[in-house]
Amino acid sequence: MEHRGFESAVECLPAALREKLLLLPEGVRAQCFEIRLRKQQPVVLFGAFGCGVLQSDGTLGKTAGSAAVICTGEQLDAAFHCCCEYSVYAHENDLLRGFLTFHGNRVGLVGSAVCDAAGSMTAVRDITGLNVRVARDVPGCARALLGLFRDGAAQSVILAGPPASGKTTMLRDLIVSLSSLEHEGAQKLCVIDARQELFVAHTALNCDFYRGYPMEIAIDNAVKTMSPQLIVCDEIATKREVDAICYGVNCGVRFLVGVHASSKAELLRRTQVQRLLETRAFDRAVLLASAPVGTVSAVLAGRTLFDA
Amino acid sequence: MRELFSPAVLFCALALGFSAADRLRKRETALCALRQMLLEVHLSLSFGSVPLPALLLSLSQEARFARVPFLSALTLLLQNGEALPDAWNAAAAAAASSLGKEGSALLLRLGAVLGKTDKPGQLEVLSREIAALDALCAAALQKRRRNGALYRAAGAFFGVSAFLILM
Repeated sequence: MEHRGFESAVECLPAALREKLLLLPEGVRAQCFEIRLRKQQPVVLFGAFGCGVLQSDGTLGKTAGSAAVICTGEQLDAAFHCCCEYSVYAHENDLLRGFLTFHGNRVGLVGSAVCDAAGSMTAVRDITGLNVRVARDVPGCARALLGLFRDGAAQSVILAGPPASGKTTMLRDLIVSLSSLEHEGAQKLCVIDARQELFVAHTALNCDFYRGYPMEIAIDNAVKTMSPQLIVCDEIATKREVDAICYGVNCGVRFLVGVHASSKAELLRRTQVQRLLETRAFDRAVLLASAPVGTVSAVLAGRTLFDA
Repeated sequence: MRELFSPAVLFCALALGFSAADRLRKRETALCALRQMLLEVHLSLSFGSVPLPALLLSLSQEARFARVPFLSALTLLLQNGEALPDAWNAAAAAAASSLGKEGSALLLRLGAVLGKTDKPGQLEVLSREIAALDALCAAALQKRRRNGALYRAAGAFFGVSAFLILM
């Protein structure tokens, strides 16, 4: 497996910041979801513990006093360049989409946009903030959902949850569990890893990863050339992505898609979800609770979904 | 004693002359190999988007770049987990002995911007530094042709003269 977790995520930070973060107690590191760096501002962490400000003695405070660790412009630039693998030119498209991926951890970025005469964004300059989202592998966390994908129990499944509820972590675990060649009945999977967070460096998977592809192109390619039994997509959001999934469904492929939604009502209100349900191919929706990570709060099926 | 001392002086004078000429040749070779390496980086960036650390590591595997001490030092530092900017600066500083002060300064200048801009910016910077390196290579070639033979001749002349005087 690819190494993930807090220690892996902080490798993109300059040594001075990294050392302070690694001084944090084990419990805090294990529960941290996000590390936020802003130019000339204190380093802020978010996690199951709430919001905390990194202190110079390696503890977490509630306020930004004189002991708070300040992220300098040079440190922010160094972290940005490290996330770009010291090759900004190789990540121009990612920058326009507002994020980079470092060791499987998504790093959101904020700066000033450069636009052309037509108003289209062409570049980002003067990075002023980074949000390092800590990705984790939790082997076995999706065990309860495996039954949905075996023996044709469900056609296609929506995995919904609020931000930081563990959707991506569960998707990764499902990918390994369903396509592992170490077990009988491994399914042929294609993973549309548009944000490069789902990739699993496992030696024996019956799975193909489309990394960094726009979702619609990847689905089209997968359906036409890879004959998948199941396509996995994370965080669908746009109409074009939904159109591509509908196309795949019409070609007879099953899907497992991740969607942002905090509740059943919010899920069913989403236009994209309504369109997916209209295909009648999505007959299960799994709702995750906001805490603890990876907790299934409900599995919606049949009339619960379609009569909404 | 004189029979032993005279050949020793002759040998030392010849070795000094020839090693000075050889240093000029090595410097020219290193500059030309570095130019070739930068051209390869330019070509890779023109037609692809391979990140720099991966590109430099793959170039270091090629036999034709084995004579670029800068690249060998850089690769070693990268493999030891150094960040590219730090590794580049350290390798550039260490390369002053083989590339000369101008070559080392050129690499430091390049390291300050390499990987930090978009593709057109990178290609422009590389083109400019390759042009500067062309001038350095031409100067090194001229110096080797002019001074190389001179150093060898001077070494031979002083060696033989000392040998004859001492005999």
